[in-house]
Amino acid sequence: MQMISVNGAELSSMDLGRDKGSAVVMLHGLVSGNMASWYSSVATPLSGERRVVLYDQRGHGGSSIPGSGFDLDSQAADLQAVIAHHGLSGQPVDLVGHSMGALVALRFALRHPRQLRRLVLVDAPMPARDYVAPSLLGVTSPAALADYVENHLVGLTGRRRERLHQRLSALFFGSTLMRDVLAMASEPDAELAALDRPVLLVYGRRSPCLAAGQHLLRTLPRAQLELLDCGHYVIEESPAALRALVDRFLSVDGAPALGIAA
Amino acid sequence: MSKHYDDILSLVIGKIRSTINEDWIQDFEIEGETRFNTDLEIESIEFVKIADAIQAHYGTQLDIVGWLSGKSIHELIGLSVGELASFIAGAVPEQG
Repeated sequence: MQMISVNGAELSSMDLGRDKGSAVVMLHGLVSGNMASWYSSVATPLSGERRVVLYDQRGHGGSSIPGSGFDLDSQAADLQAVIAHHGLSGQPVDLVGHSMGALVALRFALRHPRQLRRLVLVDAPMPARDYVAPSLLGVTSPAALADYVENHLVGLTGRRRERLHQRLSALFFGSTLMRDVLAMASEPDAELAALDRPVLLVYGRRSPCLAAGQHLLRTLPRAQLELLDCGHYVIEESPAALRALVDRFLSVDGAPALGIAA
Repeated sequence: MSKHYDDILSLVIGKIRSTINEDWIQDFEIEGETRFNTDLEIESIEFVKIADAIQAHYGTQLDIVGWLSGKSIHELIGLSVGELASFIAGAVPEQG
């Protein structure tokens, strides 16, 4: 476990399979996500064949909860700092992101295509202002947050529930998270159409975000879409099928796509 | 139980206390039967940190990542402290 200083935050990160060749960085989803989301079900199996870097995005897991910087450009800059910290800046890496983590990975890919080999977007909710913001919009007061915790965190009890409640309170009332998510529009079609990298889109058949996957499939030039029998929380609901898809996609032989770029 | 197991159980308990690093855990009586989920109520990210700290302690002697690999985080959280210590005791050679 290592701490990485980025713009206004400290990010917790870990590195699995360090001596292996190609590298993949995995990004988790918003609020309840952290390195543990990917860790045992997908990241450790993948690390048998490749180097896997995990990190807690700002405001999550063991990372600090800064007051700002939850917009996609800031979070893509965090990702760049994580890649640099692990000594991977000179080589194209694979990126795998779920939900908000997928949107961060996609923004990074559009800004730094030469740093990217392959991209996996798992149930990317693009645009987040339509898919993510509505579930957060009603949380405008501590009482509303208590209701949100009651209704959305049904499986959590005791200490874990209290800790997540505290985290949400800091994120919702002490940071720009809500405002930043509300400002997250779709990536422009022209930029998506110019991303000359292989992209695997994995969506849950019952996910409310499925239309976003279909749009990305139509717009990204080298994308393929795989549907799994689940909803939005693909990592928890279909871990084995997701692991197999990601492993196969990242294991495709051939030179990194860097040489193909214009 | 052997001294080998007891030593490892003590080490695991120490890693739990130092990773959680809150006042209550320092006084909490942790035994082999103590469960990460129902007794300690640890978060999944805390389990990952504990596993990472144990891996760092043993280095190449232990492949905790390989053992956890493919299990769900809920399955791991469901373990008892003693079950984790038993795996380590079986994987790490006894000190002479």
